[in-house]
Amino acid sequence: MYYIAAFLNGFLNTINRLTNVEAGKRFGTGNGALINYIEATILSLFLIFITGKSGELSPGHIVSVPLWIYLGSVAGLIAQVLQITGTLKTGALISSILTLAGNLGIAIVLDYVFYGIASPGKVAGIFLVLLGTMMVEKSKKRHS
Amino acid sequence: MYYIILLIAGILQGAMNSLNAQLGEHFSLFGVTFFVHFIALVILLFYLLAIKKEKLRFSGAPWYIYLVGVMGIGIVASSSWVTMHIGAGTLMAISTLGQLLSSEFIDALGLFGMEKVLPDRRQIPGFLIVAAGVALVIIF
Repeated sequence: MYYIAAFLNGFLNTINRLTNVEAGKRFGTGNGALINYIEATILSLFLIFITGKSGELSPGHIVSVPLWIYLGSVAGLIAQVLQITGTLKTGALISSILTLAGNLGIAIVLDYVFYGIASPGKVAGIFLVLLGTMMVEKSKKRHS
Repeated sequence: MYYIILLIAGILQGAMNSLNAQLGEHFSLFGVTFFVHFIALVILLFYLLAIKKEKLRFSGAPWYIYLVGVMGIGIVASSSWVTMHIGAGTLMAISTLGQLLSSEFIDALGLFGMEKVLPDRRQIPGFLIVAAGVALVIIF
């Protein structure tokens, strides 16, 4: 089940990226990104109430969670800005490979830190994913 | 210099997935999607209105553009849920395969206004290596 969800996550990521690019072309990068955040915030709030979890929005509960755990979206926003900056100067191929390398690399480190998951087989697998992606992207570029 | 910037962008993206999964230890999945999007919304609104002094406008796009929020929830919820159970490395490996295959599918059919590009057999070795990598990540 988790593996299927991870696979579908990849599909959603691709469609979302294309849709965001289109939104950025029509409304500008900032406004385009804003649509996503406004919609998702309102819809999430609605879903929290529908599923009867409104208690977790109490100030007491929110404050009890360590502040650094909320920083994921800040990291995501900074990543988006850096990726746009880097892509404009290096091109889509190098950009996608390098961000994927950083992404996979830190995933290995944080899996070990948070969940104690680490093995040479996993690291080798991640390396192969990166290598294979590089080959696919390179042949795609030659093809087009 | 730009190579390092892109590497850092990737590191921050990976950190985002892991931090969002940590958020999932304290909130329901929709609680996670709410905070992730709400915090980014506040920062972006401040940037657009106070710093860039940009006018907000959202009308006149094709219908599917307005599905980005739904997709955003799907991506954050699935990333957090999967990371909590099988780790960020496994999520990223399988998700990368999903992204590569969906890109091929969209290119082949020319969806979302993309130019139609049929798959090339020179890509097959790359796909096989990615698949082998995903198998290793799942097995170990």
